[in-house]
Amino acid sequence: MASAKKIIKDPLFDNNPITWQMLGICSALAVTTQVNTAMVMSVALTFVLVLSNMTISALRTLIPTKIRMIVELCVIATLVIIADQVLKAFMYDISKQLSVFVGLIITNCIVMGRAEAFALQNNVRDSMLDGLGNALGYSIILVAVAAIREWLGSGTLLGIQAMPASYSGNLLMVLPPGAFIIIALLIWAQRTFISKTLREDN
Amino acid sequence: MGGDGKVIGFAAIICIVCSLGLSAVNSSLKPRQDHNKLLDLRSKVLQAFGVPVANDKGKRLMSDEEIASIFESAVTGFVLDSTGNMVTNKAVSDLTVEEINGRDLETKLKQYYPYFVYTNPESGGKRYAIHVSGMGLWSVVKGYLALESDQATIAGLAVYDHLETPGLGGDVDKKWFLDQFKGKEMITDGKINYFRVLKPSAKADHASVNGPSGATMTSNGMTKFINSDFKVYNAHFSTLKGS
Repeated sequence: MASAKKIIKDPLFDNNPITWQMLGICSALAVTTQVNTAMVMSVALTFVLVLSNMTISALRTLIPTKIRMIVELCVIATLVIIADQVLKAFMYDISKQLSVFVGLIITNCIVMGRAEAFALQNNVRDSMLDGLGNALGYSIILVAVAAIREWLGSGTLLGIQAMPASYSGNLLMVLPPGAFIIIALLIWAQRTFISKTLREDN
Repeated sequence: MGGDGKVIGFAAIICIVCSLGLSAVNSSLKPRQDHNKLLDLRSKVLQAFGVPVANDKGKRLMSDEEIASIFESAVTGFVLDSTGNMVTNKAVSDLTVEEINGRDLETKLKQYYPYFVYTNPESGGKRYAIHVSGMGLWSVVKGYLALESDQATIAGLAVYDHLETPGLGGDVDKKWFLDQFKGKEMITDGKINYFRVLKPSAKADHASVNGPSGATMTSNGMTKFINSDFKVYNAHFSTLKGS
């Protein structure tokens, strides 16, 4: 059994859900024009991923294999709707900016992927750590991409002016292609400079 | 077949637990959500009236209480029926979402047409906000079209609800799109214009604006409902002027 530290640390860099497993790219493109929305999205995903991993792990001996995916989806969808309802009640403006993307956490491959690949085989504690690790790995990339896009695209960070006032903003960074380019650069940087272990494996 | 029985039993329990959980969350958060919606609607209507509720970047400059107090002191609501006659026994807040958005299949008219009148506390000048809504591509796009005191020139548009595609038709609630409406004319020299939401590349005149790109169906829908809804209100405004 892998140690708790490894379960959390792995998905942060070496096995990052976005840059290594290539999951959850859709929302990484859509909600990363501002750091603010990216952070709320990260919190929402963390909430869903940790709880869905825990729930499914707790039920893993009870879930009939025939309908396991349906049960997973049911649990995930319920958690996502709760997250969406809470956002609508307490962070209305941000929930409007995130619009359909909170709902689309249901189809975010990270959640289903971790349920299938990890939670069904492991105990509740490890599954919680795995969910947390993957959610943090997702959040790091999301916030990093959002910070670059907001800084270069609108000249602000968290809504505060971070460029000379004369800076007019780079439209490419605000539009979805900007996110593609930044994520691709991050993937390249990670594979070339950071993931030493993976290079040695090859 | 005990196995199948277990599967069905398990599925049933999961469904019941999930739906009970969701019902509980929904009913406990509903009041807060409704409060947010109402506040959002009011701030958008005030914005369309030209009250500085938010700055250019969309940051709110007023507190929730200020918005509520301005709305209650300076704005009056009225209700019309589908022929443009005043309905006196109903207030705007009594109307259901269905009554002001649902259309009769044959006449294409809605049951009730609410509008707001804003009296500027300093100048005493009046502005009107008429409710316009109808199908876009996926959803009913709902908004308030604010008119200047002449009831012919547009003061602004506030889109407060829609479920169009984000980034495409969903851009109808974006500032750059809404800002185009300001100063356009629903009536020019006493004649009603056919107001159009055009393609992004088309040249807009005094009675048209450019829609978001990739959103032809949403734009066409808006063109349709803005004109058809305006007619009802105009019938009412004309009788007011005549009397």
